[in-house]
Amino acid sequence: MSQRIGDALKQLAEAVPNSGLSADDVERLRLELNRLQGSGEAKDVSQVRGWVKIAVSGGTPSIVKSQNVSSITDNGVGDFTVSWGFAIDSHVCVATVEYVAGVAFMFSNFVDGAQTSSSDRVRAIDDGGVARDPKSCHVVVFG
Amino acid sequence: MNIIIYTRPDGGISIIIPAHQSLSLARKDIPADATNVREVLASDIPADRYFRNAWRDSGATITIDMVTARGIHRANLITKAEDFRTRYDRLARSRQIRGDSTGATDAINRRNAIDAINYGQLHSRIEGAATPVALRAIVPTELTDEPPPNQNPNIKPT
Repeated sequence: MSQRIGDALKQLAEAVPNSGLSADDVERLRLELNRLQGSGEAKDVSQVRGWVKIAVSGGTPSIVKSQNVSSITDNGVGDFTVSWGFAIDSHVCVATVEYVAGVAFMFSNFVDGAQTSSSDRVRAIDDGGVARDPKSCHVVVFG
Repeated sequence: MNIIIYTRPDGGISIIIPAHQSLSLARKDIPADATNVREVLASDIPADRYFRNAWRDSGATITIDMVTARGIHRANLITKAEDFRTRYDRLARSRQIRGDSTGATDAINRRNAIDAINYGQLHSRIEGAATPVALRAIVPTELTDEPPPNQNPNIKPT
């Protein structure tokens, strides 16, 4: 339902350049609809429910691009929580990180027991197991 | 841009960055055990994340807890020393197998210099640092110059 409304809003925004609706406006409305409905928009379990690219530069990480994300939380060095615009008891989350210069390898993992129906907590560590801020972090959720 | 900061039960700070700059949606992401919840400007957050895990919220500004900061700096120096030592070791072997005995000796000397760092004295200097800036400036000279990148012994030197 909200997917259709979201698509309709998107089409409206594209069809009417002076509608005043930006891409951010459309996404915000769609997330609000999801929240009011209390569920995600995907009906097919094989579908991607949400994704985000986080960039870390300076004091505060930022969201480069996202879909169905309400916020990200910076918990510390290489430690982020992604909060989704939906709630599903069981979902699959995949994360990967882009390493920074001077670090041979970086990995992503999940904080034990920190997955909730509407969020996932991701950590970035280097090959020595030390938490590091990645250049960017990409998180995708299926469910 | 407005963001939300709060203090976790462990004393650390978490920072919520809303998607699409929508604070109303992001408020649902504040955990029940959060304290000192407040909205601030992103520009109020320190730009330097070196002591990120030592950030504390005084209620008005973000400060750095020196006890935690000393632990962070100690861990970073140890990690760096181990990393540099390994890299100089590899570099020495790589130069030896190329027949570059002068370069190999230089790498071995640099590795030995890292082993010879007076870590006890370093501890005293770290404990004596009164500010984050003074603390961060405590880096032994042996750890200031990055070792050259690892060289592949299969590549013939030019």
